[in-house]
Amino acid sequence: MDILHYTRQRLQGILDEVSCLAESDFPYPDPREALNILRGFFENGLKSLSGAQADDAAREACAICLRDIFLHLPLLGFISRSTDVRNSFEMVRPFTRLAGSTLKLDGSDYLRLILSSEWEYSPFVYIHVPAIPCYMLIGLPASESSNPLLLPLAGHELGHRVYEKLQPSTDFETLVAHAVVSAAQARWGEYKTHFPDVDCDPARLFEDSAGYETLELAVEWALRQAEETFCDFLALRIFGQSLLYATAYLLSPRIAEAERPVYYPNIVARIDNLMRASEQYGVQIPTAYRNMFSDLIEPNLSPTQGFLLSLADEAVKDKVVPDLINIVDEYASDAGLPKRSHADEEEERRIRSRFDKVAPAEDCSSIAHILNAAWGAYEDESMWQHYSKLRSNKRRVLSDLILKSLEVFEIEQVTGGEHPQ
Amino acid sequence: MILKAEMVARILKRDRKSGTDDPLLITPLTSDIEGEAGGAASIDLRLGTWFLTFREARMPSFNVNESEDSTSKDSRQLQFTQIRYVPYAGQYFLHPKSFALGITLEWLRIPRYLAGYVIGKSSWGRRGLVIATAAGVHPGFSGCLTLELYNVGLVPIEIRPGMPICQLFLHTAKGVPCSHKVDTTQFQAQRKPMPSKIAPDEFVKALQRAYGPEAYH
Repeated sequence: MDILHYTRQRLQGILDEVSCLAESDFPYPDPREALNILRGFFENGLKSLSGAQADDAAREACAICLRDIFLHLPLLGFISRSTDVRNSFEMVRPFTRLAGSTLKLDGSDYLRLILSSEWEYSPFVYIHVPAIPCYMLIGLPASESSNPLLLPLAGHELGHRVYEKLQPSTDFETLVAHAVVSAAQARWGEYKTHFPDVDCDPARLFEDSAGYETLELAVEWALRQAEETFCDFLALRIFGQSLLYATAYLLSPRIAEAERPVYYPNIVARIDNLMRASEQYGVQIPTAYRNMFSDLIEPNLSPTQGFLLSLADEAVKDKVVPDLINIVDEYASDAGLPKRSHADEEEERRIRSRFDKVAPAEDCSSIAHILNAAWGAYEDESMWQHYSKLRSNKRRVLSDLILKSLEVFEIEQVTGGEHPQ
Repeated sequence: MILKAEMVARILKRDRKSGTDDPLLITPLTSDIEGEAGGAASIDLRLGTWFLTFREARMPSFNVNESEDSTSKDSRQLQFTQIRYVPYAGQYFLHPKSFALGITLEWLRIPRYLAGYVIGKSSWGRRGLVIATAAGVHPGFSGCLTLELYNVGLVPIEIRPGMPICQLFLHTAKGVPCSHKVDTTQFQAQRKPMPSKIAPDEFVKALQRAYGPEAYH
């Protein structure tokens, strides 16, 4: 039994698997390039063990290699699934283009994207992958990965990248910390029952290190909630009403018996936030939208932790959300995403009229218009009422129309949108 | 009467302007049908990105006597066929005597007063590539056209999505127009090639009943 030998074999196993996956039919270059980066990463790991002796340093190097395998093996599965024809490859280029402009990348700064499917329902898992930090990974649940109507939810994932980008200039942490402290000050009597040893003037809670320390967990949770809420708002600002529909499709009413994660507002609060932002962004809220959702079970926390979570919730809802709505709005306008106007409705009506005629759209100014028109069509029960076969295959036909429209949109972008006729 | 390309261009323009509910649409239209091709009687169509091949090793035969249950047919199609995506920068090698289904890049919507047929381009035919044998495009068709690609030559042929692959002739369809603006029979409104859904018709069924083994018991 030799730790070094075992580790080398494990790394070789990963490299063999990478070589095998590299022979897949890749629908676009990014997943293959990610494999090449991973190959180099693991080859370096193997090199780091060459000449190592069985000492403490080698033991640590082996542990690091095992950690890297542990972290990156799921990514190989993700890349492998990205080649599966269940995915709608037509979504990739238009979304990459949108993501590039939203992130304000110039020509030399190329965004790398892998669109794949997950074998768990929770979509668009945000994975910080150390070996490929420049990649954006979007995974739809496998049973929905061919469904382009859910593409607006990818805007949430894009939101994480924008949030990261804004962090140096926008002090989210201070904004959130002040909001949490303010929530605690407003409930000082209750605060004191949980933290009787804190002896400070409530007005100086932010500056008092012992007092502020008691709120650190609430600040941490509120900060995570703020990031997720920011991402919801960015997706809403980009995709409009289609984001509301896609959210309802995937999440309503709730997952039975599932516990609410502390780093998200509970479902109804999350929907309230979206509705609040919709009003400011000029997005029409579908009828009875809020009634579609109910809350997840609150987590089983200690009374003090429960109090801190309620402070985090309150802080985000009352103090942070209005700021986030404005921050996202300003960022989006700056990135060339104008607020919704009458012209958007006109364009979506025109696209919808093409779908009514069973034809894909052309001359579209954004993929959001295509998706908004598509959701309007999907929700319209009278659509294709004279065509029973089309109606019985509505989701499949509409998906094909959306995906062909996205493909046409991309071709127009590449060719300059010239129509010879 | 076959419509020259310039006439097709005029109809496309007219329908686009008028907003008629039964328009002729070709999307995306990337060929210059008014310019160089204006004098031609056909419109070039391009190859799309999806292909379908058969898993011969799994297939005993095509059998028209399959169950008519659509669910079992769909699962049989999955069992015996393989769909492939070839990106625009990629290529597909069609080897001698091999067969694959392709699809046009263009989505066509044919109004009730027109019909058409799609055939190969002579430049490809002379290299041994046969494009379509069931070439009719009926009034009310909407979708991408499935192409039956067969290499009858002796040399592998490299084809690439986006390249002109076939030509469409359109002509006026006289007679009573079909009642619906879109024909909702099979092969409709799809962007990927699909194998046919062959089912025995009533005549075949009657013959089977009359002459099949059961008739002698």
